[in-house]
Amino acid sequence: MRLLLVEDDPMIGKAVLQGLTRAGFCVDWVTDGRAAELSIANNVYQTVVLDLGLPRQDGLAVLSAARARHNQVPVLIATARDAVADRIAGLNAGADDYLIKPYDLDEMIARVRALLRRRAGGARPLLECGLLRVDPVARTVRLADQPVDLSAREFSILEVLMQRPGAVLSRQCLEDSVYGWSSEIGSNAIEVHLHNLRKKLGAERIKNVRGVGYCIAEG
Amino acid sequence: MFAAWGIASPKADMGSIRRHLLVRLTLALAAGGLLLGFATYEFTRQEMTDVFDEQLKQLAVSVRTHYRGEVSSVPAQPGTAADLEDSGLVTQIWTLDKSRVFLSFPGADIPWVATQGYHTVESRQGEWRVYAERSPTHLIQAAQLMAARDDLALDTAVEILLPNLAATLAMIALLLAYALRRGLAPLTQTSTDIGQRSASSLEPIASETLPAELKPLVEAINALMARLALALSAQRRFTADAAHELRTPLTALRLQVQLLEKATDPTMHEEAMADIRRGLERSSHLVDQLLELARLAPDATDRPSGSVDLAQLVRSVVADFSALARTRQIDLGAEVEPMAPGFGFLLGDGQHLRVLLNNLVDNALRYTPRGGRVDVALRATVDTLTLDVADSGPGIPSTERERVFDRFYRGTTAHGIHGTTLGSGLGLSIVKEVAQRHSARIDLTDGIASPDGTRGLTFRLTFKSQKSNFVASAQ
Repeated sequence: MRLLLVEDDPMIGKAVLQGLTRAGFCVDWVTDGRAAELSIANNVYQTVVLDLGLPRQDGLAVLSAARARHNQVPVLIATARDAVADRIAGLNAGADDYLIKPYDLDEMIARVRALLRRRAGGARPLLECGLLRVDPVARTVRLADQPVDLSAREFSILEVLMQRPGAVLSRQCLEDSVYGWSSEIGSNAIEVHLHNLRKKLGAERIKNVRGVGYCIAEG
Repeated sequence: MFAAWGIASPKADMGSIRRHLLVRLTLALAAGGLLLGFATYEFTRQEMTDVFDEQLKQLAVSVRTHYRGEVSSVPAQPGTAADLEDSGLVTQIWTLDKSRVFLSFPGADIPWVATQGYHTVESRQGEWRVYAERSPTHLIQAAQLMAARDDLALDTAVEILLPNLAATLAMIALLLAYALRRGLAPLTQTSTDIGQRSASSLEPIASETLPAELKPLVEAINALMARLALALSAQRRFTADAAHELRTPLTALRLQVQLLEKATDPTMHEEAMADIRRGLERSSHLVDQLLELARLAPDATDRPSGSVDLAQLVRSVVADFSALARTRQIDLGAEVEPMAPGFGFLLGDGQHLRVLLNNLVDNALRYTPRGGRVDVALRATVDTLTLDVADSGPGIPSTERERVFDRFYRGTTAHGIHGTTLGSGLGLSIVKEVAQRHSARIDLTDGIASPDGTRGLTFRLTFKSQKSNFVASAQ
């Protein structure tokens, strides 16, 4: 899951970045409003964690601009502005959730997961498809109730695919979802991970639509 | 009575105004009443003298008319001591050869006075008022003791005055109490008005309808409350700003501690600890700056101002920061123009000016990259003193220069050039506050240009040469 963190305070930013990374997210971090606007426009993030008091461009303006361009990315506002009026303004500008500083790292991660869940159209914390069951919090996978051992990358790719069973995702799209700016990607890294996944889960579970991409087989 | 007046001495506790007024007015009125009583007595005595004299004359005439040479024909009976006590009236008949024929009160000693008319004579019993009436054969005297007369006059006066005086005084006391309560009602009303206020309601008290004595007091209180309201709202704004701003370092600390808890290997643990240390440093720096600013708050007690040697101050602050500048490889220096004796001195608060200079130099060092340069310069013209702190940092775009003095403003490039403590965003508010106190103007201009194209930044403080600001000599 690739997230965009928008936070101008270097200490908070660094800590959140580390926390989210350890929770298995792939995080890109920008520190001002303009950079946030450009990054969101790339449309590669599953969720945006947005501070409001930003240099160059206020967070609310960034959010409003994104929504005006019909960008649907889930946005979690994380700010020190705690007044009810601010919270209302934030949600009305198109935020999906609102978190007030100082917040708890685990709570913020849980809220990010909740946004991702809702976005996938389900309220259940587990992603399920047929005999395959993925737990994004514990980062475990069970196939027919038997645990399957996956690498972090493999898990991330599977998680993205499981968000929308049946939807065909291109190699580029999977790469964008799984790798951040700082990651080094080999030319066929995704293929290697997919190959391993199919070996561990059974080739029939992840389908390859030639020339288009991959999807999780429904049912 | 003197003790009562003594309360008026200004040092004494005033107690209740109403009670004091009541006591003093009652005493004054009582004194007046006594004077009135004495006057009444004197007047009564005068008036009664005529009446008594007339009575004496009639008594003497009546004895002469009835006296036929026998004592039995005298209408007056021999008197008793009680008679003398009571009315003090005595009659006495003499033959013309000075032999006494009749004396109504045997013990009385009234001398022979032969002339027709009124006399006042002295005897063993005291002073007598005597009327002498002559017939061809006899001298008839009617006499009265003056003391008895005075007693009678006093009795009469007391009889008239006492009930009236008591009733009058009681009435006056009641009326006074009522009048005082009514008269002091605005005072009571005002104190109720003020008493009902909560600590936060600082609206002025209505003063239009108040009496002239109370108006200045209430208006003074209103002016005080207006100042309080201003200070209170400034304080509230400051507290809100401060609470809001403390959240950022606290959020960082909280997150850093959580990361430490989750750290699984020694390297992560070490890094998390280092982050926490920096987070704590930043928090305490912010708290220090907040305290500094609170001390400068508009209503903080004014510190005594004296003559400050700005040149000496510049050298001292630059020396203080030289070690820090060396570790950051920044060339920090002071340029103090040689000045005429007396220049470079400023009437102000040395402690505050040091805080101002500390903040400007700290700020410049914070945003100037390694290998950069910071100059602190003091120059004097005929009517100004100019203090420049120039750096070769990234500078601030002219569009943002207005905002740098806002509390908690941090520039877009405000973080961590030297990987050290972050600025609190308060330093320049402190600078502004101190500058305002010294009526100094602050200008932001470009600073020292550096080879990589940045323009740097200069803070220029211009102290005006008001007579009150400059001190003529070094003393």
